[in-house]
Amino acid sequence: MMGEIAHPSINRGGRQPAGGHGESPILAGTRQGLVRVAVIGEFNSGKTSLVNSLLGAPVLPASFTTHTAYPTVVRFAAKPSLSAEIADRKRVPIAWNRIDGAPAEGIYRLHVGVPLDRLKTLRAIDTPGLGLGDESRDARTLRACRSADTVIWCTPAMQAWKASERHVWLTLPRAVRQRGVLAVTFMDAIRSQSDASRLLVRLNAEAGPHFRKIVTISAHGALPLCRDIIG
Amino acid sequence: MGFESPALVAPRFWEASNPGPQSWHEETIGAPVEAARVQLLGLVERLGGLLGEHAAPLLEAARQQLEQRSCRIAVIGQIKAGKSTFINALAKRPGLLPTDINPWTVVVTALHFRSDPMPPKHAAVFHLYSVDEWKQLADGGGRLRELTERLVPGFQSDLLRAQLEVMRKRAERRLGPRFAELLGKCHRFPSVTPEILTDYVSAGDEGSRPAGSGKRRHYSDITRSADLYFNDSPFAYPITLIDTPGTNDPFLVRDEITRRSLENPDIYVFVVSALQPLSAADIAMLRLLNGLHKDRIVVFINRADQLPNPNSDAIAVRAMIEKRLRLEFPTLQVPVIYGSAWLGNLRLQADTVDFPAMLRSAPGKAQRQSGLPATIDGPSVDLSGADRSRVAQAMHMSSGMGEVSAAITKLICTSSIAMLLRQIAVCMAELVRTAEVTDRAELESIHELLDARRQESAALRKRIGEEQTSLAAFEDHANALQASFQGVEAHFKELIASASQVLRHQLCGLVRDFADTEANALLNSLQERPKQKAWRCDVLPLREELEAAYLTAFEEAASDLERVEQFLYPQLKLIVSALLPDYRGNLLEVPAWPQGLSPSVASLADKVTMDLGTSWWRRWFAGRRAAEERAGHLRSLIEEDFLKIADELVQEAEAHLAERVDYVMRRVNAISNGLRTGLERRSANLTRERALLNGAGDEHGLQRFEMEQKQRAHVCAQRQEAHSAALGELSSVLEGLDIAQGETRP
Repeated sequence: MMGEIAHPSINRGGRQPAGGHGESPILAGTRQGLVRVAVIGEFNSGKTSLVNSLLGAPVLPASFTTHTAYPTVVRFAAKPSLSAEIADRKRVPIAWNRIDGAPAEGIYRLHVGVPLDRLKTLRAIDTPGLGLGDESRDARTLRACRSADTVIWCTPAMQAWKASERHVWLTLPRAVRQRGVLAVTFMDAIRSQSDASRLLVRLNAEAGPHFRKIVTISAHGALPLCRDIIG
Repeated sequence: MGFESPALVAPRFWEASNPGPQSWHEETIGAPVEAARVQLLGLVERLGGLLGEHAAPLLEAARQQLEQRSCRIAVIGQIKAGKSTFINALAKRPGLLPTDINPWTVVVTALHFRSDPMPPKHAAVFHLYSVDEWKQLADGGGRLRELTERLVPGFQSDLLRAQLEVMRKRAERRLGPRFAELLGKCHRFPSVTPEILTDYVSAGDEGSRPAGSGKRRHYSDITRSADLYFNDSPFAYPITLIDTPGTNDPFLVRDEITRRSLENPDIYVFVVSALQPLSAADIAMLRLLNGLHKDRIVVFINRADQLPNPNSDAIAVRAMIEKRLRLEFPTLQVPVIYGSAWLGNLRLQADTVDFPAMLRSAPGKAQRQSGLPATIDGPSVDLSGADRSRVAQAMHMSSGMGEVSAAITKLICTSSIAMLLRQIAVCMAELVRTAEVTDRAELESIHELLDARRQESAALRKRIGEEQTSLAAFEDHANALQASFQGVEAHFKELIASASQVLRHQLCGLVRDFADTEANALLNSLQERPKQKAWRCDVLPLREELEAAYLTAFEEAASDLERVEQFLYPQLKLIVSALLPDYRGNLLEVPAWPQGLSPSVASLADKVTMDLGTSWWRRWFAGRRAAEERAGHLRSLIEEDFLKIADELVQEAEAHLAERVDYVMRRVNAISNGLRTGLERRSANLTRERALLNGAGDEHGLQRFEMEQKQRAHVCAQRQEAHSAALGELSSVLEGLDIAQGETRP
């Protein structure tokens, strides 16, 4: 049911067949057939786009200028639904247009129900970007990963793996980090194949020891990648 | 393939609604101040012959400053923000600085640009670490090691140690047996090539040297500084661009180097990536620059070409950054400009590279949204020359480089560079006026003596007596002037001494209070929860308090000095007008000190123990110690770090104030010396006149003397003409500077 991602070769627009043999799957550790994936990283690192490509559909609004405001859990539902979790795990229905912009007090996270078959085996958690300077919010975001089977850290290819990213990643419990995958996003911004492989050489040296594996994601080639993952 | 696109002449790909080919002109950075500099240099030459000995040291100092002082522009930002690419575009030299997909610049590189027909003797100069410096770096890791050692003695950061080990081994392996003899050397090259730069300033893996250029030599690990010199400058004013390794580098050693290099540039260009603008790391960096350099920062949002929707995104990103800046720094007003250094370089190569293909390969949609992709479909050979130049123009507009150049020029016009030029102009004008006044007095005295001689000897004797008396009085006044200068100087020094004492007391008090508060907070917290394993002491408030107290105290000291000056100058004027009865009061105006020209607070940015990450503090808690002991240790850590910083700040303030007093004193001394020169000339003349009157000369001698007097009068009159020409020119220089500065104010 799970696919694999080529590593460290480059996945560009699905032009290369992804998934070499002998590599471990991106999504490890299942419970009752359900894989829970948390996607974290600094702001504008392509988290929401990655979640959308995992789902194979543009479920969540992704934008460079408005940031994801709450941890957002996407799960299967027969009918599309959106609710906000407030105090005492209570959920109230809410509309997309009410959650644009700055985060409102009192909303802990969002729950999105979508009738996608893929979600029968996958639950995705999108998170607000780290590193915008709000430490308590960052801490809440990081808590969202503790229960995930796979934690994907997004780092944008053009400014990949900065000291601030390593710093935050290393504050996570070892148990969480052992389930970690480093996703190098916006890989299509890299203009040559040799640049891309040299970037990966550095990332393998500097970040490799802290992750289970490193994968690359292109904005336009993400869809086939997900098919490979989910099967 | 047809090529007609009105969108191309738009100033921005993504601002088609704002047309304006009129804004298509090359900005030459610093043109207004360069005009002033050139004029002043010419005047220094002319006045050298005109003013005489007493002015020579001051004129020589002015000449040196005019010739040597360049505007230092530091380009800073996080790793991979595109700093080197930006510099290449700004300097109009695509491909000059090596750029790469990985953090690449490891050495702070200064590029000196100065228009000069003579090429520089050496185009590239690299200083390698000395044996001691290298030992300290490779064994210790400098400041970072010092801090971690202090926090957790005997425990060295695994990571830092590992990184240093890698660096040391790599350098020794790469450089081989020659390694030892390289240290402490200085390498000079007659020209700058990409290969040389890669060898000395770039990090990087094996085989990264451009193909076909031989084996790469890795000096970058042991290069301490790199200076490149160019005589065909693309800028009007002499400019030094400083390329820095990025901050937020996971390779800690490089991060350290960059922080140390932010010493006192005139202007900072802060490059951020449009894709992740103003992260916490950027804000931290701006905090360091804030306070002192509010008026010296330009923010350049790079990589706008990579935004998914350049049309709307770039504007939205800029608005977001401006909003964030207002929120974080309410007093900070920085120009925020978006663009793409990549496009800037591309348009510079428009004649040689296949730019339509390059544009098509761009990851963002800049070309698609601009109307460019629809039209630039074919290979570049299809484009006519006119079309190519239109596309180049559109790329230039979209790159934002023109706007950045204009913003830098504006900053230069209000920077300390403009202040310096103004001071030099004012000082020269004063010297000229002094000479003018003494000449006028001399001329009058010659005419009066000649008149008296034409009458009879009794009148002449009387006139000489009068002149003698007046000269004696003059002499007394001049002596009084000199004495009062000394008194004033002593008074200035006392003021500085007491101000710095007060400042030291104040700053140390703040540090001790803060250390006490934090130590008590830790103690209380430990008593409540003895098992706690984490502690974070935020020293930002202390830094801010110190900065505020420091700047306030400095302003006070400066205004004390100013009060003395306010008192001093009218007094001096009185003496001068006693000396020169027809003096009309345009000498010795109180110099207007530029506001906000504060001393550096760079010491505040020094990394301290409290800045170390959480993991360090966890280690600090690992040992078993009593709560009191722990709190005491915290107190002494804070005090050790910050008392040293306070001391450095006080020294900086002292130096700053002393420099100012030095300038004032040099200025008044030059004036007084100018007066004295005139006095001596008149006195010598009088001695001869008296000798002649007492019958020492014959008829022939008298005639010759009279001729000489007429000649002297003639020279005096000529000098006066030259003076008033120089004064006219100086006032036009000052006016030019005023206009340049005025244009920058809304």
